[in-house]
Amino acid sequence: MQRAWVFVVLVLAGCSLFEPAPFPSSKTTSTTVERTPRDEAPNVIEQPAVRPGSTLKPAAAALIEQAREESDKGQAARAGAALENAIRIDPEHPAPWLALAELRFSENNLGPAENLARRALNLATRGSAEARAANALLTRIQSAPR
Amino acid sequence: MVFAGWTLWLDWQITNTFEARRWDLPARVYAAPMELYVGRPLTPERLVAQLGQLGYSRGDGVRVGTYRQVAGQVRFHRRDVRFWDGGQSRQQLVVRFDANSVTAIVDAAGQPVGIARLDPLMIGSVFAAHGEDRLILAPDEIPSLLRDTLLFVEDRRFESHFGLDLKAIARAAWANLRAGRVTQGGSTLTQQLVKSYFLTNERSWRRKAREAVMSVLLELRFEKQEILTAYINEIYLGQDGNRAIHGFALASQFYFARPLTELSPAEMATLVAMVRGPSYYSPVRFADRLKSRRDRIITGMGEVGLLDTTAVTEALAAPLVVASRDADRRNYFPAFVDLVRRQLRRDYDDDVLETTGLSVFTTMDPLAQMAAQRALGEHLDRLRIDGPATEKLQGAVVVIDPRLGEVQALVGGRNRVGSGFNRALDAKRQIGSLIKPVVYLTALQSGQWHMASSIEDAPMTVAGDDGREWRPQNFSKSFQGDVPLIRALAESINVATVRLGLQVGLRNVAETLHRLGGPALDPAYPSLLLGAVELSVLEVANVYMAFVADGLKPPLRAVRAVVSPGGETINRYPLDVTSVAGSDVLYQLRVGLAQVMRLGTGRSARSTLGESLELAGKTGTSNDFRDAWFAGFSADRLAVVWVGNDDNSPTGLTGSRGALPVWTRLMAALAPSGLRFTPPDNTRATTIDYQTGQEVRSDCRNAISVAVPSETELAQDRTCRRTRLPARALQWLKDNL
Repeated sequence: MQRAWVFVVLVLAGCSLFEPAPFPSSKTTSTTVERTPRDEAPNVIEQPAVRPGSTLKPAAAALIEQAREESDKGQAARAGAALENAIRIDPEHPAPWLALAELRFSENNLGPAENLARRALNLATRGSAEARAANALLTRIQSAPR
Repeated sequence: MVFAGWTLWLDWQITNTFEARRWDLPARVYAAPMELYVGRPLTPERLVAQLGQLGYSRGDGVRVGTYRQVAGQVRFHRRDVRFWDGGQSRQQLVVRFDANSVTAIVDAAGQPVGIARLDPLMIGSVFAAHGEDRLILAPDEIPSLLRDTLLFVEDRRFESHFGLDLKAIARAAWANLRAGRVTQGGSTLTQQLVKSYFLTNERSWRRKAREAVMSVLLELRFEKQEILTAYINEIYLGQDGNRAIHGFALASQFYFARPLTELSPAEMATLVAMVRGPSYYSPVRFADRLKSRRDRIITGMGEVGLLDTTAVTEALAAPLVVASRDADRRNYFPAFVDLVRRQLRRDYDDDVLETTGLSVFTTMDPLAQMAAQRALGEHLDRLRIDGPATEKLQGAVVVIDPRLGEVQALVGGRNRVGSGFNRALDAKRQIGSLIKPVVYLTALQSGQWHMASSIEDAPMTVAGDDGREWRPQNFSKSFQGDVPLIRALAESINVATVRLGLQVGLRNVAETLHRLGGPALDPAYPSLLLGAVELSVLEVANVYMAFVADGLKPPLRAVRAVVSPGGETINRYPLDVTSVAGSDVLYQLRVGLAQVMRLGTGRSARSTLGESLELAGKTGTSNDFRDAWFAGFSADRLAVVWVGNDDNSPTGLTGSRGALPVWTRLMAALAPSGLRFTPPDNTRATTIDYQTGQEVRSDCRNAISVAVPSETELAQDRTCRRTRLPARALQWLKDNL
């Protein structure tokens, strides 16, 4: 539990844990011709290879902090509620999913914890601190006695 | 001896009734509260609309329950808010906006507020058929002006009598004797309460005697305050269909759409005026009669000092305005409450839901609910002009937040307050081409196919469900030869899909459908591949929810928590996700479903909603045009629309014409956030020629995006013709020519 909260607190403190990802070209075909989107056929969808990192919304960050306090007081249900709320506010950011996964792990709900951690991993920018934290949590979940 | 026994019997009866009678307190059902925070997409108009729906009135924004909108900001005084996960006290708030989101929230002292919740909208109650509905007030929640006015009008010597008011009885008897008929009553509040408990209008000396003795016994046993509180919560104040309105708190909501504490003196006087006979003094049928009684009461309030002269003048000048039936019912959403009730039935008996005063906090988003109702109603009205085939048209809509599995809106038919058939839950209809993504997903999961693979679209004969030969047909009545899977999906080509489905195996398709949350089909017939399977709108939404994200799917939820009358959370329904498919194959499918919106059967939505908004979806039309469907999603909303006739007769409508316009209107009102496409591991994005499936440069004329497994090697075509027209012009031509 501790490690994820440390991670989350770092995020809250505004530490730049991960560099904003470059926004690469969506094209994978080999060509050297410079193109602008206007030249593309209309049915080409931008598919950047790397998800751009994003900043956690302050309201979601505040809820994660609140969840930590509730969790410290042994109020797991309230902590869970605050984290669900954080997910509602910023569902595309891995941090609230990861914090909820940690909470479920601390409750020994391994199945839900694993799935929630996977969701966090899927949302995280490849190679980012969140991705590493999610992977680390998954390892702990998978090695926990069932 | 006999009298003593009778008295003891009455004592037992009344004490038992008063003490042991738990008012039948229906469960209260609440929508999800609107939450305000910096960065939340919202306009001042939407906030004001929500405040209006919650019964806040336009005013100075300083008095509790009022709001004031000035350029770019809304000031309002929020009421006390209680939730299952904590509460917030009443608070003056100022919310500032830029073009489309909240930029600041501050309190009266100018201090920033992190997250402010609005009151949750009450959207219904769970009460038995012909049941009593009421809201219970504690003694300290009763406004003193209401209490004093009630005593002044109904029982001036309440504090001093012993249950009976002999002076009042004598006065009434004298007046009745002179009139030769019953014109006055001398009943105390205590007597009225006893009468209300035993619900009989029998006029006999025997009943009168029993009522009198019971009243005295009640006064002997209980405090005045307990009796008065019971009266204020118990008294009958009107009828709404099969719902009996009991108590002043509910009557305040019913007649004025506001809490009792926010009523003006004139409005309180109106409610007190109605105690004497809610139908005789009906504000709808006998408004003049009620107003003249109200005005007599207001004048009397002035005479005894309950109101000063100015207040009396103001109150007398106030028109008798009661909210229309619709205003009260506007916030009742029986179809959604029906879903809530079904979810709760797994954990609670009906009796518990109907009588024990639970608070149920749901996932409904009132703005989405209203938008869904409006979108369906308006489109059905337009279609009805087209003639007899569309006259009885019905429809249903479900809106879900696919990331959390929360049902945000559910429309069960055209007439939302009718006690009718909940089509969103109970109308199981053939889903037509909505099944196709399941077929394609099964193919992708097999590892034998990707979205650029070719499948033959040519006449074929298969053994049908009944063993006879079946020759599936295309909607266009023509065949395209070899087509890439992505094209067959985007254009919803039937025969190519049947061929694909048979090659990947019917059994496998049926299993995929079941794993995604659909019904178990055993045996499965070939007609399944064209959607000859019956699902409700909610079931379709459940299946489609899997397509939105990474294959980790939350269960559908309509309830977040249930709270006891004492404020204790007795049940939570926490967020969970389970794995139903791989994120890579779902991603590949999702790119295909996005192409449905670009060049396939869903493209009309894109021209309305804007080309920069990435959406995905699928149309569905069942045999003989009996059912028109559209299921589609953005990143944050999944909506499924069905339009058809209750008797299953043909409507002549395709999914594109019957259901897609409803979906488009709905999405336009919800300002959804678009899908973003970043391929997961093991998947690469590329562009292929729409006709041949060969990999081409993205500026080729027929280039179309797909996603395929990373290791896939596609045949390359380096000779393509480049697009000469700017993309927008080309799209315009495709849409319009």
